Amino acid sequence: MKEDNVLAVENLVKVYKSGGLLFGKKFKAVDKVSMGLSNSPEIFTIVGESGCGKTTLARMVLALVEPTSGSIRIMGRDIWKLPTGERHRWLPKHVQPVFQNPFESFNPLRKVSSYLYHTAEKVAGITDKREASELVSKALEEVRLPDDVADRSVFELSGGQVQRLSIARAIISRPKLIVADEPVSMIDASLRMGILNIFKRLKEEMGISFIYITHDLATAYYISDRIAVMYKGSFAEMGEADAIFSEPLHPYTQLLMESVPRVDKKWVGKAPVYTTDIEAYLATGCKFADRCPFVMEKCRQHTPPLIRLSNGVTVACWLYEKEE
Amino acid sequence: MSYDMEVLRCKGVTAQYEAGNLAIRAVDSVDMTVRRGEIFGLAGESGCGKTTLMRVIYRDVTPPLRVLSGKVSLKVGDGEELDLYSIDKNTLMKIRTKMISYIPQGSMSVMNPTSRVKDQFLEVFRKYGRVDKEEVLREVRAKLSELGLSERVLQSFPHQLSGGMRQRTIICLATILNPSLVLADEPTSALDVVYQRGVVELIQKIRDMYKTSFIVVSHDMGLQYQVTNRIAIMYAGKIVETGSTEEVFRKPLHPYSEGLINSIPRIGGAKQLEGLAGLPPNLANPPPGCRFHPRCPYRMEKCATMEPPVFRVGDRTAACWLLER
Repeated sequence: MKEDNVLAVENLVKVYKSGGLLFGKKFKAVDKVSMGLSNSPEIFTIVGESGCGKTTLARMVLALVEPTSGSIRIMGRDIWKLPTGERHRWLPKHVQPVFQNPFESFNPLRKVSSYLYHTAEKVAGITDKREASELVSKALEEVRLPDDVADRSVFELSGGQVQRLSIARAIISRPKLIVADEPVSMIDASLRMGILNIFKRLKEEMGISFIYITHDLATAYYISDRIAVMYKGSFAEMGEADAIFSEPLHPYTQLLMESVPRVDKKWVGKAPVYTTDIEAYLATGCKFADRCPFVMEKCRQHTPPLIRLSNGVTVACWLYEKEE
Repeated sequence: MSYDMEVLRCKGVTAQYEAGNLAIRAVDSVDMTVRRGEIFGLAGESGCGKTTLMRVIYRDVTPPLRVLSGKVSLKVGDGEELDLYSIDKNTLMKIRTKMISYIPQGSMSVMNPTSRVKDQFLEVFRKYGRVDKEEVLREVRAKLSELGLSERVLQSFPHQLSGGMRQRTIICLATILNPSLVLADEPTSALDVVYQRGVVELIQKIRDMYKTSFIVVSHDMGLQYQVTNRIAIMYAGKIVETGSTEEVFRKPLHPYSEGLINSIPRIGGAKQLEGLAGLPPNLANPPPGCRFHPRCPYRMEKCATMEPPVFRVGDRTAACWLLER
């Protein structure tokens, strides 16, 4: 990994504990995840079901949750080794969040512009009034919000507009990376594409990389350059989006693809039945073994390694052992 | 289609939320029929009035919601028609779960968290004077096994069940007395994609086995396509299009349905979609003429002033001036 890569995550682990001091339960939300984003901007999507750890991963990259072990380097700096004050000053300039529920991100009674000016001053460090106002109107233009929105209060905006506002706020400091956690899941279908198209445009025009977190495979297909499928804390499969969507390799990815309620093809056959246990997060062996139609003896004993295939896709499944 | 095939008929239903001088007309002159044994989809975006329409059909109408006009009738037994708004409260209570059931959104909050699933089944029967626990439970177990659910759920508390299991249990609970119509509001939207199929299969199974009709409310067009036979698309309090699901998806008649269907990304499909321009209108002050005209790519002069009537095209309907011929 080069020193100036936008993001390098290595062996990231997050264990949550609950219950008593001595006999509490452990829960591995994120389990040895490694990923990287190079300097050329791209949209990297993490897909998974609820509880798979995708949000915890995002929150660690945003320095909102401290990892149990492993490292996160942003532009070569290990963010959890930085002094706290430095981390809080430096990181927001380069990494910005967009959250799921835009209405929870903003005080409904505050002026739209106050958020943008505040970010310009505190995060981007711009004290000059004129420079800041140029930056603010530029940001509003980037997300296709009319200029007069700046003088309104947040409650006057619709859901789609507030989400555009949170993107405008995020780009004020010209970050290298935006971590967007389910940014369109609360937006109506007819307005979703508008938001996703902004991401694509910002990538092309401003060179911003995105980590797009979602449960929705169709939007993942729509905007991703690369994609990682997450299952119970680990990546099951990672690679170029086109490669994974045309030929999903991991049995879990295949299951997800078959489960999507598509609008162009009806489901065939019967739905698979299974249960989920919290124990599976800590189990030895493959975490998908209980649900996997191709399960082998080995799968229950040993955790599959990440196997890199010739098309660049890495897959954590014993089925592909020989092809390595 | 002959009338004896219908289980529900709504005619000119108009309902609004009232607060002081403000009136938000969430359902406006809605005509709708649901046929026996069909899964009828009600689609549209948030705030278009889908859930309000369900509440009106279930006559779950409490202030600030008020029904201004219209008729909701349920067909019962042998050809008899029951006007839901002319019967008294007692009769209404009697027909709920027995003839019409309502599954609101959010399966977590539907069941009583402090009592076992078993007791919740018993309670439904108690309402109809069936108090013999053993006999009732035998019946419930038989029905669960018929539908492929483990009878273990009976001993569980709702929080012990997974989301998919809980939703399926609620559907069983709502259909245990074989109602002729079940209103299911967003039955899968809280579930992960891999569990949605199980719920859909259960709904289809109940329909196949007992000829139960369902109205499935969902904003998820993928789900609508997978589960429903016929579909109604709602926009700003009005039904703008109805028709067989297959046909509506293949060739939508109303420009809103077209925009909605075309803005759905498809795996393996186009990577450049535009979505619909503009925003849904404020229902406290809807635009004159056709409510969709400010966003419509095909708008004509009269769309801004005259409200389009419902045009009938074969077995389909659409409220758009483009169809005036």
